[in-house]
Amino acid sequence: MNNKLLAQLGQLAQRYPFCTACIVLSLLLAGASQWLRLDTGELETRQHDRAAEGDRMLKIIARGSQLRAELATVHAASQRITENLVVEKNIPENFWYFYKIEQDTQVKLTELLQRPALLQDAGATTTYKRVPFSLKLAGPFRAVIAYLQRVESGPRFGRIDGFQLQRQDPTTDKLVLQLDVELLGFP
Amino acid sequence: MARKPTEFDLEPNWHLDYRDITTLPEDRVVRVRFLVNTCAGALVLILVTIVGWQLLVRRDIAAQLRFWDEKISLHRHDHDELQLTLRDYMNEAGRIKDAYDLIHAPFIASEFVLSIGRTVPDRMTVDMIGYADGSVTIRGSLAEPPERASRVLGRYIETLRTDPQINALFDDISAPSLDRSRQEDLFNFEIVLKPRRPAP
Repeated sequence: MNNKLLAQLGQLAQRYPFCTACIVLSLLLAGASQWLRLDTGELETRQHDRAAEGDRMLKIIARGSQLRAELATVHAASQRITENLVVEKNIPENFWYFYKIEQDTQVKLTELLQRPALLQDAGATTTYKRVPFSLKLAGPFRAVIAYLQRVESGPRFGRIDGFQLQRQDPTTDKLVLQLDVELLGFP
Repeated sequence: MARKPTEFDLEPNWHLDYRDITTLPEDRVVRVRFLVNTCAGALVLILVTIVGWQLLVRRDIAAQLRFWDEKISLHRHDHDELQLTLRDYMNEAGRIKDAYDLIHAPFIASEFVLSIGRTVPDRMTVDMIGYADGSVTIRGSLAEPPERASRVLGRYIETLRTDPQINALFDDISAPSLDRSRQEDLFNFEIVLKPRRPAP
């Protein structure tokens, strides 16, 4: 059966040699086209990846000078934080900070106490820890506000955890400020 | 192979036909050989065009790939250097964020006290301003006759609520108490302010 078919095909090929050559060529071309289609698809994927990578790279390079400037700013800010961290065990130095502000603002610091560091910071994986202080001071309104502003604005970094501002005596303009403040310290 | 008779074929039974039709060339105007060859040639032509187009596309993509490879290798050093810079930046920014998270306060106490001093009505005296457990308490007295005291306090609460500096910091402002003092025409009041929660 197969031999008969082959014989017929052979006869046809002999009868139509140009057509046979074209069919063989077409088969080869179809195969090549299929291979090219697959290969081009793969090449296109690679080209997309490389273009995306290159584009990303060029964008980062274009932002280079801005990034370096931002790094310098951030580095300076981080350095300023580190330079002004308190050491929990260095109590005289810590107290000196508050006494210095007292001297500058002309208030009377009547109580100053360093409390133990917060337990919640002990186990945390933070870069810093908070060192809490309790203060009580008295003075005229302007002086007390100036003291509060100095504690809030630094150079040591801290936050007011609680405060109570009240009149010392209804007949005078003196105020008493009770202040709970936390300063940023070395872990 | 049998062939359909054409108009050139002789009438049957005229005389014996000794022709070998299979070996004789066709006598049609458009021969089958021509049609078959034309179709096969067209097919080849179409396929050659397709393959040629694919080769062109492939060459174009390969050129683009070479372009990006050259760009990438040219800027690789700068890029790697900037990646290190970016890593340093992220580290430093992380340290600053840690510090901010630890010492961020919901409001600035000194500014708040000054704002209260700026907004307090004439006949109102503030005796105490306190901040504890996440809320601010203001206590004082009001030297007003009974029929005016509650209106003055209500108006002051409204002033605090509409004050841009205070409204930006506190979202819940209320006066839970207004009591008559032992002195004539003097009322003691208490105002409670709760700071806004930071957006998540």
